[in-house]
Amino acid sequence: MITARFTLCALPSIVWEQDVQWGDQDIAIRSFVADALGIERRLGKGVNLDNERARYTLCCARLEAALKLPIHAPVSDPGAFRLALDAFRLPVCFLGQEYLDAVDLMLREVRARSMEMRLGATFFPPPMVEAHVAAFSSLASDMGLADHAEIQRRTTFFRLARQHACGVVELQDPYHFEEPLPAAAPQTAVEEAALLGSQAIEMDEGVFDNEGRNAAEILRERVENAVRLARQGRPGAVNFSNQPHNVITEVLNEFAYSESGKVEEPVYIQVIYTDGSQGKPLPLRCLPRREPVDSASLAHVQPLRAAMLSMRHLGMDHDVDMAWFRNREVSKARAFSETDEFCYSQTRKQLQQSRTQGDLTLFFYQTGLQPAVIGFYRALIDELLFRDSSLPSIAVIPHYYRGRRGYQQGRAWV
Amino acid sequence: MTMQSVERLFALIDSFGDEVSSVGSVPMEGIDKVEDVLGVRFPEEYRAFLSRYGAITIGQVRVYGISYPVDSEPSIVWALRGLWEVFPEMPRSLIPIRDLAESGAVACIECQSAESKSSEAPVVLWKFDPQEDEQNPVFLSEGFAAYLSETLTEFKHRRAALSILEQHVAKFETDYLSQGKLPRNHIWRPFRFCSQDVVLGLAVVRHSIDNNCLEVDVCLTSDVPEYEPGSGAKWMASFLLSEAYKCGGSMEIRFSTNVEDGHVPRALCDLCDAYGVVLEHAADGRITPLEARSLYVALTDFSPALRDEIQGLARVARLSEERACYAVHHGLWTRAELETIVLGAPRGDSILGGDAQPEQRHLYQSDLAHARASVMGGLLDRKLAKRLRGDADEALDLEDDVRPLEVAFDPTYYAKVYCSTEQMPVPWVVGQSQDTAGLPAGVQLIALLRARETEDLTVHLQQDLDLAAECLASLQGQGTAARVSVLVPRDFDNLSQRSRDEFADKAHALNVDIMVCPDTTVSLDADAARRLSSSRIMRE
Repeated sequence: MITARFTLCALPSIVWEQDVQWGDQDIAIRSFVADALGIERRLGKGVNLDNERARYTLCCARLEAALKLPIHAPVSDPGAFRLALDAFRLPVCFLGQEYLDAVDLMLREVRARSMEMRLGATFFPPPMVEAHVAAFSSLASDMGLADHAEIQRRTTFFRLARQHACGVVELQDPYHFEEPLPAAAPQTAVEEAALLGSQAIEMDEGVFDNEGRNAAEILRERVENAVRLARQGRPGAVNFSNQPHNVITEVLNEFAYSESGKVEEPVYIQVIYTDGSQGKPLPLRCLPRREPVDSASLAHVQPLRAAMLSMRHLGMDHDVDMAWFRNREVSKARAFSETDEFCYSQTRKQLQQSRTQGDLTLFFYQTGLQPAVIGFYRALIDELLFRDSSLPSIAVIPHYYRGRRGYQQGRAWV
Repeated sequence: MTMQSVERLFALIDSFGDEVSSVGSVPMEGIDKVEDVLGVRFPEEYRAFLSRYGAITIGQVRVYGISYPVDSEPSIVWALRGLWEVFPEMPRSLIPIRDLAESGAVACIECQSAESKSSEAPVVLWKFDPQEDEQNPVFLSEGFAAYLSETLTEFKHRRAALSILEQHVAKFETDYLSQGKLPRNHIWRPFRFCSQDVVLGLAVVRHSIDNNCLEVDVCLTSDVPEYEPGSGAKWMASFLLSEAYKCGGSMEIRFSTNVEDGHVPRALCDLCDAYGVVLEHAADGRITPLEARSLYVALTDFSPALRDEIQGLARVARLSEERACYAVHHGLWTRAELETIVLGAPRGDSILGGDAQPEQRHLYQSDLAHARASVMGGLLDRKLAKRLRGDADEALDLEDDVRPLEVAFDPTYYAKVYCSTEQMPVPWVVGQSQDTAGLPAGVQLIALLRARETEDLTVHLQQDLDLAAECLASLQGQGTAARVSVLVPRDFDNLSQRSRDEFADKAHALNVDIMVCPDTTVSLDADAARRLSSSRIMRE
């Protein structure tokens, strides 16, 4: 299917100041930038709008056309950014259609603030980058979009551009082809290796996150260490803030079940977040392992499909029956631990209510926002402990949104 | 026969007063005699009519009967003599009651034979020159009284409506035309719909501010033989619905008591019946917003895929069905262009709403690019549909000379899919002369729409060609005969000769084509921008 793809292109300040030869390419954008900024000022006065708009379109088109050059260097880490500039190439990173959707949403919901920061513009000269990225990430945070992969990637790239005294031009390819989304169901469970092992190279969740070591390995090691310390009676804490949500879920799934396969007294590990707040302890190594034959009764239950958060990935709406949390209730400006607590209590309440409704199979279409993920699974572990009986009556199967590639199904919580 | 229906008919005829020109009563013996001569039995309704009036003429409505001398108009004997002479195959049971020569037909009572016990005598339309597979005669009404009542009522309504129309036109000329002013929506505005010198409909409408609906004071349609039946009603419905949308009301349409005594016009009711739209309040002269919306969608005739997508967008309040319909009826986008936008563009609703402004560059650029692709696809639609006549020396351009062409859209490849039942030339192919043999009938032409600027072509055309090859392989795998092309604007010609040759060679190697539209992105953008701008202001 056709979708928009954006190439964010960092340009050193000299390119903005004068027409130069960069590598073996002539770049002449200075006059277009000056004209376009002048038109923006005049547009603000609301005079002769039609002409000014036509000129602005032409000016931007020329500016962008001047940068469709064969010297783009895709970068995936700060070192590569520097290297690209040193080699007289232009560091670039790519964003998908979701960036455009986010811009659209921001402009519709918070128009004045978005316009003030020139949201939706395609060029940002070096002096504008710092103010823009600060305003952008602040707005994204206020709107609950901060953990959105494309938002994070853009913010990171702009910050790198600022560090290297670069401006940014965003080029759009409106006819970018991507393989169509697979149908939401039926899905096949993926192997752990495919799910977690690919995390280091999957770029959906952030341009520069989880480089090098496998994120799952790192988190597994930390949780294991925390469990060991907790068993020794010492405080064992894990910071979940910077972990991809699917990795958190799968690693927690590994540690939530007891080693004996039977119900055990929970081992509580501490949960901390990068904002310094501390969540409630997380019960691990306590759930009984279910045999497939025990879980067979749930196989025939019509699954309830729920997105973790409303208004996050609108493209998901086609595939779900409801959203588990309301975005406006969850994405408030508060400590991560408070969000964690809110999501925990909401989930507890909803799962308790579900007891009277018979067996429940929940397909949980989750996205980022780590405190919400932790809160949800803490409540689920409590509920599974409460419902400890010979036959399972609840199953939660995580579905991880993989951008345009559809969903990956995680391990079931039964 | 019921005496009531006959009495109602007589009352209706008498209501015309001095305008009725009748032959005068005919004695029963005279009627019996004519029946004997013709070998048929007249229905009681007609006998009562003959007995009272003989034959009548009211305005343009002349009803044949018995008059003296019998071999002159409006005598049925006179009419039959002429008809039997010219059309000896005409069934003898048909007794002509109205000459409808302008429709190439005559309205007849289908009488029983003298010996028959049956009392059925429907009124039928007998055509002089029916098509080979056309039914003849065609049922019109269950009886003479019902038919004539309907005809005279329609005549009465029509005459009254024309009189009201004249008053509206006079006032409109005084208040607006003569002063060079344009009326606001809440002012009564008269409209006349013509094709050349043929009037297909007359209407007077205004937006009712109090009721937030469209009010109609005159609504007249005509069925012209050269057009398919119901064309007048179809065009009228299309106009009223579009006007209801444009004026910004609720889509409800209300007909005043001047329109068929406050009933929704019969022609529109018949049209709704044909489209399966039930009008619950037809007798009150109202078409509800929901009914109006259903009729608008039915009239616009979207493909099932497009209709589903539009309804899906309507459910999440991103696009109303009536906006999509209006975009087509207003001439802003053709159905095929709309399909490209709604099925192909990620922000189709924004394009149809003209929501993005150029200063929101990213959003505008996205909308403009897809609008541009749609315009370019529309050019190809028209080019393919147009038949080429003439020879190498002389090209003939004949009006409405279009080939049967199915146009669909494949959102996966962002491609137009064409198929015709006749061979068609494939235009604009790079490296192909005009006289190359065309695409055989039944073979699909797939055109990937890539309305890219010169710089983008340099960067992306190779990928587009690879995708076209993938598309071709996929179709071949399914056993579908097809030719696949990448359609690009004339910006292609701005590439260096070497680049163009390289791309042409690559296309050739992949067994796909590059088609170069005669317009550049600049001119396509100008058209697309105009349409986006019009979209913003099309609802008042």
